[in-house]
Amino acid sequence: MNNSDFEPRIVVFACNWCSYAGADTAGVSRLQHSPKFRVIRTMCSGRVNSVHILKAFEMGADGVLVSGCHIGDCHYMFGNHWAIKQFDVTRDLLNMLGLEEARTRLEWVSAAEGPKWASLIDEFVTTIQQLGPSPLRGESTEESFGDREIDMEVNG
Amino acid sequence: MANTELKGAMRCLDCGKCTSACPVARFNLVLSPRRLIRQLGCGVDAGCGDALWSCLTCGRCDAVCPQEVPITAAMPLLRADVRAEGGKPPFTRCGAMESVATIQSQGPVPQNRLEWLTDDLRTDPESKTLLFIGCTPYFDKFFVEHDVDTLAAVKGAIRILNAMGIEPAVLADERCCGHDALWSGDEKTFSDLAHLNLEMFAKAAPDLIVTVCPECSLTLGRTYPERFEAPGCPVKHITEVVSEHYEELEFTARELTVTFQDPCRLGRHQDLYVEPREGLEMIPDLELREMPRNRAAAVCCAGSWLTCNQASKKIQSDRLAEAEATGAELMVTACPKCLIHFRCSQSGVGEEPGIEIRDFADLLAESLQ
Ligand code: FES
Repeated sequence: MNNSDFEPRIVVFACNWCSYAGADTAGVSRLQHSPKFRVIRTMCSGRVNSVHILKAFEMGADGVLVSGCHIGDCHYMFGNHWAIKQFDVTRDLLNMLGLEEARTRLEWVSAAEGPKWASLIDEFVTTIQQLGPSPLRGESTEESFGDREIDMEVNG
Repeated sequence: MANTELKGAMRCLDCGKCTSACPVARFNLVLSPRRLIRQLGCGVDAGCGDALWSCLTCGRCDAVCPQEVPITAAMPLLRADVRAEGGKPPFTRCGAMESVATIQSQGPVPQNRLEWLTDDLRTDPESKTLLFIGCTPYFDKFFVEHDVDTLAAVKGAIRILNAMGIEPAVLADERCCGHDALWSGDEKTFSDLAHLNLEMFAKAAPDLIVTVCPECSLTLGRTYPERFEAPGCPVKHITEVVSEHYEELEFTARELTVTFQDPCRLGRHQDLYVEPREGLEMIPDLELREMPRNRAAAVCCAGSWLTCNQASKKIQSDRLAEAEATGAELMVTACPKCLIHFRCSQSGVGEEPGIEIRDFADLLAESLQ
C-alpha cells in the first residue's frame, strides 16, 4: 500500500497560545515544510480528549498530532498535564484497536519555535507516508474525509 | 415514526403503572413512558426529544405493564427513526465509546485485546467452548481514572471454567457485540459488528459461547439468532454456567455478607434471577441479603452512554444506599457496566455510599478451592 501517490490525511490539533502561534511563526518566517496536514486550533492541548482523536481515525485519518505549550508554559497552567493523561488513554485504546503507535504523537511547540514546528511536521508527514494508509480507514474516501459533519456536543 | 412497528401501543390502558415503575421518571420530568406510549398509540409524532435518550431500556416498565405493551423494545426503533432524520444522541464523553465500536465495525483490523492474558489462565484456541470477552479490555483502559477492573470478571470466568476442566478459547479478533449500537438506534454499526462476529464464530465453530457481560449474552444469544439465525450454538452468561455445573465446583467457606444487584440485561431481559443467587450461595458460610427492590423489581445501575445527568446520579446513590442498608459488606453484580457506573458515581467527593462492588465471576473465582 506504500506507494508514492498515497496522500496521507493528517490531523493536527494545536493549542491557541503556543503551537498554533508556532505554526504561524513557521509560516511568516517562510520555512518550507510539508502542506499535507490539516490544523484544528483548540484553546489548549488539554481540550483534546479521546473522542477527538478516535473520531479522526474513525473518519479516515492516517495520523493525528497533538501539539501544545511546553510543560510549565500552558496558558491554563496545567492543561498540558491533563493532555498527557488523556493522550495516554487514547493511545492505549488505539493500540488495542490495532493502530500503530507512530500514527499518534503528542509534542510541545512554543510560539517562537517556528523551525521546530516545520521539522516536526515534515518528520510526522514522512512517518505517515512510510506507514501508508491507516488500517482503521474503513471505506472512507478523500471526499468523505473532512466533509463529514461532526457534532460533538458536550454532555455529562 | 415507527408507529407501524408499535401496534402494541394501541393496547395501552393509560394506567400509568409504567411511569410509576420507571426509575428515571421519578427524577427526570421529561421522561414518562405512559405519555410516550400514548402519543405513539394516538399516532402523534412523539419526536420525544430528551425523553427518548433518557430511557435506560431497563425494562422495569415492561415488567409491570398489564397489557404487555413492548415499551422497551420500542426504544431502539424510535431512536433509529430519530437518527435517520438527522437527530443525534446526546452521547456522554462526546461519544468516545461509540467511536471505539464504530472503528471496530469498519473492517477486519487485527486488535491487541489479549495483552492481559497470563499463563495461569489456561486457554486453548481449539476449544469448542468460546469465552466472549466483550468490551472489557477497552473499558479498563477508558475508565482508568475510576479504577475499574472489569477484566477481573473475565479472568474469574476463565478460572471457573478451568476448575470445571474447560480451557476456553478466547479470540483476538472478537468485536464489540453491538449491543449499544443497537439500543441507541445505530442499525448499521450493529449489523456490521454482528457480521464480523458471526464470521469469526463460523470459523471457530464453538459448541457453547460463554459471556461475563449480560449485554453480550443478550445480544449474541437472542438478538443474533432473531436477526441472522446464527451463531447456532447456545450462548450462556457465566452465572448460568456456574449454576448448571455446581457439582464440579468446590468453594472455600467465607464469612461474607453480600447483596446482589440484578443487572437489567441479566434479570428482566433474560430472566436470570435464580442462577446468580444459586452461584453465590455455593460459597459456604456466605450470607446473601436481598435489597428491598430485587429481581424483577430491581433498579438498574442507571448507566448508559446516552445520558448521564442528575436522574442517573440520584438513581445510583439511592441504589448504593439501599445496598448498604442491607448491612452487606459487598454488593455483587454480574455486569461490567454496573461496575463502571456505580464506581463512577462513587468517585466524586466521597459522599456516596462507599460499599465495595465486585463482579460475580471475580468473587467466585477468588473463593474457589
Ligand atoms: S494553552 Fe497551550 S497547552 Fe494549554
